Amino acid sequence: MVDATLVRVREDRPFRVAWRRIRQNRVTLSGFAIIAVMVVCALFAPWIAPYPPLQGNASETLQPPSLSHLFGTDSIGFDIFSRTVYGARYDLVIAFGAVAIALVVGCAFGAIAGFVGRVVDEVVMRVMDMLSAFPSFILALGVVAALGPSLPNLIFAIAFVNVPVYARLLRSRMLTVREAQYVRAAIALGLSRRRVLFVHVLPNSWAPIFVQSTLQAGYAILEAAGLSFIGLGVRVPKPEWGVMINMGLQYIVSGQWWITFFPGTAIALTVMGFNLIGDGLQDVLDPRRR
Amino acid sequence: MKLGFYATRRILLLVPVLLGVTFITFALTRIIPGDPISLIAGPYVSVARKAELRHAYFLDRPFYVQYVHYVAGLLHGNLGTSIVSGQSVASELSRRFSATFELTTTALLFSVLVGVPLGILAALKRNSWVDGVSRVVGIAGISIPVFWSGLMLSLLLFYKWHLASPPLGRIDPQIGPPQHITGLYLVDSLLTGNWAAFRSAFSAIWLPAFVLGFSVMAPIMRIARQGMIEALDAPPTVALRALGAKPSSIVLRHALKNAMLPVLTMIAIVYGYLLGGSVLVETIFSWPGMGLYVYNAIGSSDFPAVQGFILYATTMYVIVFLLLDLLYLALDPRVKY
Amino acid sequence: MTAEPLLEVHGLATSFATPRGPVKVLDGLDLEIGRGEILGLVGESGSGKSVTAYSILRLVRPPGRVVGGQVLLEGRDLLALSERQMRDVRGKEISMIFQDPRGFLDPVARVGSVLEEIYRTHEGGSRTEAKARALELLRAVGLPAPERVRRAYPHELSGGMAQRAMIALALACSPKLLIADEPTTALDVTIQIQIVRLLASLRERLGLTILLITHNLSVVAEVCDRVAVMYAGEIVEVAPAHEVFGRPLHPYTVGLLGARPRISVVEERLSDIGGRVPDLHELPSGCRFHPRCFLGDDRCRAEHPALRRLAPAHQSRCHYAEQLGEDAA
Repeated sequence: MVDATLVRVREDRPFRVAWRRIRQNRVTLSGFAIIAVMVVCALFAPWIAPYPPLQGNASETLQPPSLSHLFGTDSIGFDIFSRTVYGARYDLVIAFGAVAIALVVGCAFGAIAGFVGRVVDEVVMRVMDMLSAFPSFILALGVVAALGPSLPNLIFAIAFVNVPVYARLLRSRMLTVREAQYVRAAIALGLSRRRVLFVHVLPNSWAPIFVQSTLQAGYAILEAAGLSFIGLGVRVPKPEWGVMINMGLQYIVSGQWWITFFPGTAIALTVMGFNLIGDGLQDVLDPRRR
Repeated sequence: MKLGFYATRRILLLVPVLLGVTFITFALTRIIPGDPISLIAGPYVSVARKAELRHAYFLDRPFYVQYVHYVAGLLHGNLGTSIVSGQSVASELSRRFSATFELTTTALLFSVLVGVPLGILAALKRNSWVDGVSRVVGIAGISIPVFWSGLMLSLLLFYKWHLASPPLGRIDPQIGPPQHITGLYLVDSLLTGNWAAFRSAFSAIWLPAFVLGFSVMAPIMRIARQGMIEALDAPPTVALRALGAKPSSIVLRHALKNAMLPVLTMIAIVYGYLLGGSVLVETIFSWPGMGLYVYNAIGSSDFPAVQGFILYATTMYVIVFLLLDLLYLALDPRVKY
Repeated sequence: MTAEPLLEVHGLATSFATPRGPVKVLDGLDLEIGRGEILGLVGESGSGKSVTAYSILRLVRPPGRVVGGQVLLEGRDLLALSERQMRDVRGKEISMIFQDPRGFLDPVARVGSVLEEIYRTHEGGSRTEAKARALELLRAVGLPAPERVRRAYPHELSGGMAQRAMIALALACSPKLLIADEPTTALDVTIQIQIVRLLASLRERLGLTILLITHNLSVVAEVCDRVAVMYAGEIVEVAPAHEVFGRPLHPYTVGLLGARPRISVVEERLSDIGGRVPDLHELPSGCRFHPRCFLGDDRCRAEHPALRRLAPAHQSRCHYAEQLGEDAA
C-alpha cells in the first residue's frame, strides 16, 4: 500500500506563494477591500446606522440626501443610509449561504459521480444537464414562486440553481486528476480511489472552487436582488437592496432618485468586489491569461 | 449530408433534456405548500367547485399519472390556463414572444458587436490602458444589476435630458407597428420600407437593448480577448509571420477565425442570462413581452402562467442553444461528425 | 566554395529577459552558408539552434531581442531593415519550415488558401494564377493527390503530408534560402528519410540553399554538405559533413557521435556525455564545455577558446583541437 504522502504532488502553488501574489495584485486587493467594508457593515450595522432600519418617520418623508439623512429618506420616512447598511446583512447572508450550500451539495454530487463512475456518473450528470438547461434566473424564479417568497426559500432557490456548476467542476477535477500520470502510477501501485479523492483531488481543486465561488457569490446577489425586486424574495419592507429599489420605483418619475440610487450602487459595488477578487485570482492562478 | 445526420441526432438528444425540463417544471407545482387547487382556481371558489376541479385536474390521482397528463397536454400545446385572464397561457405567451425575442436578440447583437471588437483590441494591446479600461467596463457590466441600470439610465436619458423615448412599449402607438412578416418590428419595417416605423421602433428598443446587452458584455469581451491572445500566441501565427503574411491578415483572417469559435460557445451560454434579464428589463421599460407577462403573473399569484412561462422560455433557450451548437459544428472543421 | 556566401552571420547576439536577469542566449555567433549548400546546424535542445533561426528572420519576440551583430543576405544586412522591408524578405527571400507541421498550420484554413494567400501577398497575381501555382507546388513536393491536399484542412493530413505541404508553402515565392527547424523530429522514422530526401532533391532541382537545424545526426549524414555544431549558444565546430563524422575536432562533437546508437556495432552501453547543458545564467568560466570534457584542464577553465580555423574548411573552438586531429589519424 503506497503511502499517499510520498506520491503527493501539488499542482497548484503552495498557499504561501499564492497569498503573496494575491497581495501584490491590486485588482484582487480592491475586491477584498470592498467586500471587507460590506462585511463590516453587515456585522456592525446597529452601530454604524444612525437610525433603525424599520423606523419610519412620517414627518420626514421623501427627503433628499442631507446631513441628518446621508442618503435621504423614502416615502415612509425610512432613512435610506441606515437601510442600505442593514441591507448588507441580507445580501451577504444570501451570497455566502447560497454559495456554501451549492458548493457542498454540488461537490458531493460531483465527487460521487467521478468516484463511482459508470451508471451513477451518467445519471447524475444527466440530471445536472437538465437543471442547466434552464436559464438560472428563471429556474430560481420558478422555485421561489412555488415555495413562496421568503429569505430561506430565496437562499434555497439560488443554491439549487447553482448546484450543477459545482458538480461539474468537481467531477471534471476528479477525472483530470485521476488521469494524471502520477496518480495512475499510484493507483497501479495500490492507492485506493478514496485516497485519490481526499489526498489529491480535493487539495488540488480548492483554487478553481474558490475562484468559481467568488463569481457565484456575485451572481447570487444579482439573482437575489432581482427576485426581490419582482416580489419573489425578501418581502417589502425589509431593507434588502432589491426590495428597496422596488420601493423607490414609482418615485423616480417625480425626481426622488436617491431611494433607488443608493441601494443599487451598494449592489453594484458588492458584486464588483466579488468579481474583482475572482478576476484577480484567475490572473494569479493562470498566468497565461495575462 | 453528414451535418444533417448529426443535426438529427442532436435534436433527438434534446428529447430527454426537454423531458427532464418538463418534469422539473411540473415538479415545481408539487412543492407548493398548501392546496394546489387554490393556485389554479384562485381563492374565491366554493368547496364543491374545488372538488370538481381536483378531479378534473387529476389531482386525486398518483404523481406519475398527473405528469403523463401534463406532458400529453404539452404535446397539444396546452400550457395551462391563466387564473387572471382565463385564457390559454400558451397563446398569451406566443403573442408576446416576438417582443421578447426582438429585445434579447438586439441586446445580443449589441453585446457582440461592441464586446468582440473591444476584446480583440484588448488582446492586440495587451496590458495597455486600453486593456485595463475594457476590463473595467466588462466588470462593471456584470456587476451592475440590470434593473437598476435600466432605471437610472431611463431616469437620466428620458426624464432629465429627454434623449430617449418614454418607456411605453415597442413603438409609438400613433405610428403603429409595420406590416407583420416576422413579428420583429425592426426587421418588418425595414422589409417594407416603413422608415417612420423603423425609427420609432428603434428609438423604443435601443435603451432597453443596450441595458440588457451591457449586462452580458463582460463574458463575451473576455472570451474574445482570451481567444485572440491564444490564437496570436499559437504556432500557426509564428509560421504565418515567418512566411511574411500581412499582419492585418494574420489578425483578421487567421487569428480572428480561431477566436470566434469559443466566442460562439459563450454566446450560447450568455443567451440564458439574456432571457432571465429580460424579465427585469421588460418590467422597467414596460416592454410588452413574456417577461412583463410573468412579472404581472407573479404579482397576481397566477401560478399556471408562471409555470407556462418557465417552460416556454426554457424551451426557447434549449432551441437557441442547439442552433448555435450546430453553427459551431458547421464552422469548425476539426469536429468530426 | 568559391562563390560569395548567400548568408553571412557576424557576431549575432540575442538576449532574453528573465526573472533572474537578462541572458545572452547567443553572444557573437558567426555563420556562413554558401549558395546551393545544405548546412546542418546541430546541437542538443537548448543549445540555441532555433533562436539562431528566429534571429535571422527577426522573429524573436519579447522577452527576447536581437541585440547585436549583422545578418547579411547577399550583402544586405537584414538587421538594419525596417519591419516592413523585413516582411518582404520573409517568405520571399528566406522561408522557414517548422517541427510539427500540423501544429503550425492554421487549423481553420484550408492548406490551399494559405498557399494562395502567401503567393499573392508577395507576388500579386490573380486567384487563378495562385491556384495553379499552389497545385504546381504541391505536386513538386511529391504529394500524390495535390487537389485533395489543396482543399484539405491540416488535421486531415498525415504528418508526412503536412510537412510536404508546409514545404510547398515555404517555396511558394521561390525563396533563396530555406530554414528548416527540426523538420523531421515529429515524424515517423520512415517518413523522416522521405522528407530529408525531398529537401535534397529540391536543392538539386531549384538550387535552393538550406539551413537544416536538427539534433538528429543521421539526418545530417544523409543530406548535409557542411555541419556546424552548437553548444550553449556558441558554434563549437564547423566542417564538411564527412570530416565532422570522420575526424571531429571538438570533444563535444566526439561525444555526440559516440552517443549515437549504431546497429552495426554491438556495444554494452551507450556512451554519453556526462553532466548537463549549462544554465545560461551561470556559465562555466573559460570554455563552456570544460566541465563535461574528457580533455578539460586548467587552461580550459581559465581561457575561453576562440573559433579557430584548423584547415581551409574546418574550424573548432577547442584549445586542443590539433591533438584530437592527431589522435584520429
